[in-house]
Amino acid sequence: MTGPGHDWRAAVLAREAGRLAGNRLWRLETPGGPVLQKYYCQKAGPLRTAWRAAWTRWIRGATSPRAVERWRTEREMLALWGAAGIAVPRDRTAEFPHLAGERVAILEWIEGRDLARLLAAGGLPRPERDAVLCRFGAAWGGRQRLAMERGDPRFAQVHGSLVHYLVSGERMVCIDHEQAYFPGRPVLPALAREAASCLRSLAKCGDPETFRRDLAAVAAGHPDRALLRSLAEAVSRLPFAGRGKRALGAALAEAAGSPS
Amino acid sequence: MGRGREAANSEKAGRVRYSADDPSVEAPSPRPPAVPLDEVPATTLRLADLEKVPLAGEGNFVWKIPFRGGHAVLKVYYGSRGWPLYLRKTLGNRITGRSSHMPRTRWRTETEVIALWEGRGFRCFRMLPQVTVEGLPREGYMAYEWTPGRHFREYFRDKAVPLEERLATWRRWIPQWHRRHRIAVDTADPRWIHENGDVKHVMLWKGEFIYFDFEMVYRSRNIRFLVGREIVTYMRSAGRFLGEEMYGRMLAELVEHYPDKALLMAAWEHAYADPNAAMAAARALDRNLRPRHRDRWSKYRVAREVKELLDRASLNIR
Repeated sequence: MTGPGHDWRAAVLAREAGRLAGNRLWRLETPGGPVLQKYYCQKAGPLRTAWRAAWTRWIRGATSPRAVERWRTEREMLALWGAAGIAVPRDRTAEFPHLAGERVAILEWIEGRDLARLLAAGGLPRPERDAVLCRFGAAWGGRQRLAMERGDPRFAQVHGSLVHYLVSGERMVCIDHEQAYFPGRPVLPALAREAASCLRSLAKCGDPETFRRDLAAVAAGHPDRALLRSLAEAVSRLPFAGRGKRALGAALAEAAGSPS
Repeated sequence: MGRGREAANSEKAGRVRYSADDPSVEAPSPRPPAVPLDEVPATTLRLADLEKVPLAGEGNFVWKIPFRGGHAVLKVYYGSRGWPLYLRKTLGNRITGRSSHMPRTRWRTETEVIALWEGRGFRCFRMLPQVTVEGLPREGYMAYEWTPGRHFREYFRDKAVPLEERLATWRRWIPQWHRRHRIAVDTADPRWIHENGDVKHVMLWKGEFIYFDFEMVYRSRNIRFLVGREIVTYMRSAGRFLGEEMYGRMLAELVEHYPDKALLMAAWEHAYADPNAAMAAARALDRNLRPRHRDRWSKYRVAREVKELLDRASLNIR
């Protein structure tokens, strides 16, 4: 606490500053090109974190939101998804041991824009927009099919959102794997939760008519219509599914039924 | 600290073996910490006969002395302080997690740290253990090679040196600074932290960075926090001695060029985010109640400034 204006407000602010409250991501320049340094930090105080950890574990069946756990989980998921051929950032921690450490991962730097912002900006002409969404649908659907085939909910994203897809040239790279569902849990509800989040985020990228057309483009790229219909049904049946989720499920069902 | 211990600590830290060896940083080659006998043969000096020029203020006796046609530095650890003060300071050091203040321990610590640092290519004052001084206890003094470099404190405020050149020197130093911090973290050895590190205790000489004053070391194994503490101490001293403008430039360069931003965040964490609840509470009291922390160059304020710049550089915060 410094300066002549030192008072109780400043003291409260200083106390509030007692934690980082969220991850930090830095672009680091190395002789081999840029990399991303991700520092996993505690997002909330100890009580809230403990409560969230219990809720996530026992109710959602997913790994802990504690920083150390998120650090471990993300690296495990990147290895798992990468080995399955899904486009994810490469974990380059082993290549840069002098930049890594406890709660620090070094990831591939991906030049690109996240899908949500790209769509919300509205600058893409409809054919290009459809092409991007079609690619997203193909990547998304391919992963859903893999999860169902393997019976492994770890292939569902806990934080599903279009913000977590980076469009980098022809690549559609899925990021943010800090939490994962435990293996052995039912797969379809996990995929449905992710789908609901993705649809909600897609709905925010334009008006209802744009959403309908966007969803049709996603469905057109999806490799498995039957799975998409099951997902639509599962979204509507999610626990505590309100009007919003039911509407999203209905929209998905409509898109899944539409001709590709 | 052997390689085995290093590996064990690294394993414990993250189940992955980390190392400080950054291939992009050119590390100076290690050299013996002491000047070899074929360069300087064994010599005995008589303290009373020496023409001594004092170099340091209180505590130790540090003199510039004539030696073999040139000069050397003679540091006598049994200085002007009496035993009651040594004991009091040793007690204080124990509480604050530092090594003892007793003369012989300071002698041992300093010679050990010089050997350690030189072994990894960090230049220190080279020792002349072959120089004996009559009338002094052997483990109470050490002669050092005369190193007439320029202290960072003088160099960085010297307007005769173009600003860009000074900043280029700072940028050249930052990777070396980080390299040492990484070694400290990887080996979990607090001797890699410059306990009295600031812009007064680094010199520029013949294009190399020379470190000195290692009489005490921290004892804590929370090396990340010690790194953070050292960073803040250096930057505070930069602010205090070099002024607001130069400090601002140096801080910006530090955040831009320090290779490991997550480790740099330890500067803020050590001041604000201690995971030990008792320490965190003590820190909160310290920063809110002690008047000296209202000073412009308070460690808390400097720590916040490091964090602010790091947050601005973070892709998800700015």
